[in-house]
Amino acid sequence: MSGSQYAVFLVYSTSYALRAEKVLQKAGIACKLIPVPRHLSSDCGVCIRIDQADQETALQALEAARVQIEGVHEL
Amino acid sequence: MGTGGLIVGERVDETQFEPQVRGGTGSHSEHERQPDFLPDMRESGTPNVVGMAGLQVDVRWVLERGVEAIRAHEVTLTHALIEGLRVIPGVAVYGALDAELQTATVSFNIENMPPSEAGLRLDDEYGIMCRVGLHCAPAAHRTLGTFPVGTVRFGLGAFSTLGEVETALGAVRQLAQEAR
Repeated sequence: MSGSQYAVFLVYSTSYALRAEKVLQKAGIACKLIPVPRHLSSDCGVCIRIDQADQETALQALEAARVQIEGVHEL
Repeated sequence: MGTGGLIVGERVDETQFEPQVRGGTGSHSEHERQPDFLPDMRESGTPNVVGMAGLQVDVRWVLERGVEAIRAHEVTLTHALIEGLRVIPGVAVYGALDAELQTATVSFNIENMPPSEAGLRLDDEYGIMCRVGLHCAPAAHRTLGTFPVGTVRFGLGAFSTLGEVETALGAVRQLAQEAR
């Protein structure tokens, strides 16, 4: 495992973030809405933080639910 | 569902302005178009009754307590917050720095800690809600010299207390100390 513990999904809008949270919760993946980290974007909205180990499962769940992701980053 | 209001003055001929969208009429269901009398002619569809009931209670509460009293309470808390933040080493406070000259929102930054991290930790570790970043006001932040990083912003209101201000100051003090 690498040094970072979390993965962060950036999304295009707050409604996507809320939808992503719902989808992930339903899929049983622990997630948290957090303010977009400053070094990733100057956007003042929220993004999704999950454990890095869940990244692939989470991306699959989101794709199946057609929630578009703007970017995936380590945190 | 939101609640909007339209004040129509006596000099206005209300038949002279056309709405963007009409219907359903809300009262005269057999017609395709709105009735030609007020208030029905301006009330299409289903009114947001719950929202309006809430608004009525709000307005009543504000009138009972008094705008001046609410403002005085906010000034007291804002003053305490500004003065408390200013003396924390490593904290920069922005704005007029005078509670009488500003609203009850106070922007600040903690040295060596981006606003997004400060906001997350305030929420996670202290249960304190704030707004971080640019607050959808990039021009204001350019004026403050805080663009594009932004600030952490605390908002106080009629229901906030001095005790809560003290708790918030304690949290910021701790974060600022850790970040130094």
